[in-house]
Amino acid sequence: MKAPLVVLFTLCAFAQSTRDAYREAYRAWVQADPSLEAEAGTTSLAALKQRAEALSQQAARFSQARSAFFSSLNGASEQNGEWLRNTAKPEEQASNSANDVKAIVLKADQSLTRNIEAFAGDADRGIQQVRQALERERLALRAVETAMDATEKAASAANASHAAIEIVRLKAMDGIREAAQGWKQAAEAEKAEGAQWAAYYQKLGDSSASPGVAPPTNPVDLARSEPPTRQAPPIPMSANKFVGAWVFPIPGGSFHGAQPESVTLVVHEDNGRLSGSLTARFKVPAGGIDPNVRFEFSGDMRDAPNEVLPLIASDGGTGTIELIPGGAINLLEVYFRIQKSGKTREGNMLLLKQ
Amino acid sequence: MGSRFIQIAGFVCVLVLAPALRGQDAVSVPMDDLKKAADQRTAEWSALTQALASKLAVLLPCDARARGAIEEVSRASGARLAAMMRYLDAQAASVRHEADAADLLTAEYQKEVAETPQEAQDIGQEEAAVEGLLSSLDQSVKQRPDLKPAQQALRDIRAAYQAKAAAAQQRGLSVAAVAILFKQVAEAYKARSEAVEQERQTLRGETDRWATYYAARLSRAQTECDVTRGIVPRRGN
Repeated sequence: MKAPLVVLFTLCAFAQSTRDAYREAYRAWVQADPSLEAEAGTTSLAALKQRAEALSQQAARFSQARSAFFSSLNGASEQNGEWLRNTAKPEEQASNSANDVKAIVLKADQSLTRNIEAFAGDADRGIQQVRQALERERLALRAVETAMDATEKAASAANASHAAIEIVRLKAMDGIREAAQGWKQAAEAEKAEGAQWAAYYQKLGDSSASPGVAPPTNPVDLARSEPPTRQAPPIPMSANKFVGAWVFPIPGGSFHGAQPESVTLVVHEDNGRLSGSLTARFKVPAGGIDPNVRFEFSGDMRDAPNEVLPLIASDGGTGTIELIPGGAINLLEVYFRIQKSGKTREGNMLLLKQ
Repeated sequence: MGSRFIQIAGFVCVLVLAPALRGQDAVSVPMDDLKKAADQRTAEWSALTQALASKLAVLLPCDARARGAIEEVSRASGARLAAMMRYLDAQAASVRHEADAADLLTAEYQKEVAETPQEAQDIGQEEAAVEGLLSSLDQSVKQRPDLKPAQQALRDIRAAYQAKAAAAQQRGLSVAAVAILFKQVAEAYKARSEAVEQERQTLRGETDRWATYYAARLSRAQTECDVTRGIVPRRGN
């Protein structure tokens, strides 16, 4: 059901993105009266005015058509950017109680082993049968353990693939934003050019109003306006050192405390407000705390060397994350502290910009 | 004609897409529900498992309730794994759809990249045309000097073409970058799709192992019952 909608979305996004309309308008304009400028010195003033007005309308149609074309591309890109934004999902596993399950299995295994050992020396045939049944059960349980390990590894790989998506998704969002901005500016530039043509034809038609004198000033300010340039939305200088996607480099990553297996940090800035998410997996003793840490954070920038922002973890814990610029522009130190049910969890590591 | 069709198509798209886009939020809700259901089934199974030993301790080996207690845990295990699989199924479907969408958008941006040279050509032709108009107007100004303001306006238009061409070139680079980035997004989704599929396969394997384990557990219970009822000879020979 959803796939056709996706197809429709894509086609719709570009449905208006055809150049035919403005090309047609352009042809109509340039073919309407190609000798106007050549005959402007000899034709009657009334005829000149009439012909100039007619061409002015044609020029306006062209400018509007091309501006609309660029606007449609801008709109399509904004929609696609929205789609990319909506595809963001928190990193998840089917169950966050995998460690509990492992602990149960381990306990069952230990219990079976104790019973098997207890019955080991008993010659009673019935007891031997029970012991053999226990051994078969333990064998089956160990196969479960092996299968659980495989599932855990696969889940870990799936999480890593999720982090990989996040990195390229954010880059694509930046790219889309830049492209959309370019098309938006192109649409505005077309409107400005349309105004220039209107002013030109006005002057051409009104030439008798200023006989023999060429005014030195340029009445069309738009013509002297700055050419359209690509301009990304401004990011406060102080935000530059934090914004982006950051990962824990393996091997050789620096950390303090729990050793990370993987860390992905994404930081955005919007109107002086920083927000983002951190997903990490730590090496922890078997049966211990959850190796995964996930949280989101946001807060206003203080414009200080380090930024300390409140966070909310996926398990409901709360705390703070401190973003500390590293020794180089592509390094960022992170220190987080999460509290839940009287327990505190901390992490401190140096991340590398993607 | 063509542009009218495009306008209508765009309008229809907006109408059809609005509920579809709203539906994206609706899709994420069941995913959350499926995750919660998987966690809930795990908690239920965990509670039953941990209570099993104490339940069995007060029952005789051949008491039907002993077998029933083991079967209850086995069913809870099956329910837990099925709930986890449903969650992974939904996740796999979602990732596949997103990969498909990224593929389609990649193709659309690649088409737009292919249009870039044509756009540059359009601008070049327009500039040449303006140059021609200006040349004609220059001659006309000699005959009618009061055309000079128009001449200046046309020169200003011509002057803007350099920036226009540069902006078009930059847009071409931007859209090419977007096409590449969308391709990377599509590839990343494909990799994730494969990873989730692998996770589903391993979970299927784990489900089979759990079933085998509970069969062994029931078999042991039966053996314990048989032994106490004397079905199994107590002494050799």
